[in-house]
Amino acid sequence: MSITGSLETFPLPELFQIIESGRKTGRLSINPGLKNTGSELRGAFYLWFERGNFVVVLNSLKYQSLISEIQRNGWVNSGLLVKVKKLCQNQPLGTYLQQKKLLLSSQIDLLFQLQLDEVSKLFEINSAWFKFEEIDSNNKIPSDGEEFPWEEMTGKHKQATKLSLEAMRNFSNWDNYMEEMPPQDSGLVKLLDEHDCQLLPLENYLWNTANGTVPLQKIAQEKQVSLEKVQHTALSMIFAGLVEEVPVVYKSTIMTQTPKLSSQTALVGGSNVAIKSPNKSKVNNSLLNNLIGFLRNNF
Amino acid sequence: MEIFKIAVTGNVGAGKTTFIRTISEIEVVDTERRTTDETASWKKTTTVAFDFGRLTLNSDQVVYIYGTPGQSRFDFMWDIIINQANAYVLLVAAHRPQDFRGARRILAFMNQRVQIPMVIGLTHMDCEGAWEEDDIALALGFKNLDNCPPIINVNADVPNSVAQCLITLLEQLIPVPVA
Repeated sequence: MSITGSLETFPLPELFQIIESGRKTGRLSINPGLKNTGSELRGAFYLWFERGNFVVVLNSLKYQSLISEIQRNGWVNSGLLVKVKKLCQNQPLGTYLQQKKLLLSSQIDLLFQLQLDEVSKLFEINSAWFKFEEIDSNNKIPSDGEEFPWEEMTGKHKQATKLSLEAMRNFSNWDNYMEEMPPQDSGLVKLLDEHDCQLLPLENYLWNTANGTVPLQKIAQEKQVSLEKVQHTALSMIFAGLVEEVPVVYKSTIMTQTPKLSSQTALVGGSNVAIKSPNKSKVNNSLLNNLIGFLRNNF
Repeated sequence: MEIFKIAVTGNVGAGKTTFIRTISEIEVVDTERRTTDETASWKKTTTVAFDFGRLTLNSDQVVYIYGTPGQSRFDFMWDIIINQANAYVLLVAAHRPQDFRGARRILAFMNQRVQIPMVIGLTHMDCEGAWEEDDIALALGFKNLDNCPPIINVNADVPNSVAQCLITLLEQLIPVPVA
């Protein structure tokens, strides 16, 4: 199965969220378009995921980038690397080199960080086609038979949404995401009971106040930071699947066309907001059965 | 008079007006107006207030069907409609992934406001670029597909398809007999 689309209409952080939520294993191809501006990124990018975790990125214009990086740092001599590469089957090269004590854990971390940095840049692309393809039962990409690029892999992995959360912390240009930005009068609600992300102070504050009753504007005032900063942080957390935007302003008017049900609104924390109503209203079974019968018999 | 109220919600272009028009026994109260924003390039009209349809079961029982306004941001009209609803249908255009986040926002809004049975109706599944059902569920935030509400393919133009969607919705309200 594959997912295709344009990053112009389906942002990369949302794609990461789907890959992680679905614990998907496969390859995400990203081809920046000619319209892409303000980016130094060139060539196609291939991001590999294993059960929702990012494991490696390849660029079509870079050949043997992991080996090149190891050689550039002089950590393992070239001849040995060529031999090791041949021995390394169905196992990440980084893991193999670490097992053979040819690389230190800190060196592996550094190599993986370089890949994370490269992926982070992709979040600023404003025009690109993407295609995510899941591997088949033979661990190959169905369209071209490609397998995991073991010789490019460090053996490290990172949750896709944590990667996007961290990438978005360093954004300077949010133009691509303006349509997604939660409005100043919206609030946040938690999508999870708990999480294992290491949140920054403002993120943590947003998490702790995410009960649907505090507008972002109020948070900006309370924390004495710009509204834009709060909105950006909120959007990063939305993309990470931690919270979701909800409106907090509630205006009540009476509907005249139909009988009015009991009010399900309340004042919460001084704000005029609607609260979740317990309106599992009792519906007459005879009405339900009549309606189902009506629909079955008349359509 | 017993009144059962169903809300039909979703993004602009998901098929709400068509859905109600297809099933209603009366001419749907038409509140569509010519679009003037970026939507205008692909949709000539949108619902500015709400659509209203009706099904009369007998002299004592009637069903009202409301569509939420088409524009993406919530306003007081949304609260009016959903606070009156006994159940709701969320329509999602499967071929417009750019709308999935909007649909997720609607879900969060609904979950915050009401706790009533719902069904997700996927429209345009036959269109080019339509996503698979499971991927749409993930995009809507359902990490565990076992806990996902019923998802059903809907052709909003076809009466039988709309009726089947509503039956799936209604079946959630019928008490399960104790063995």
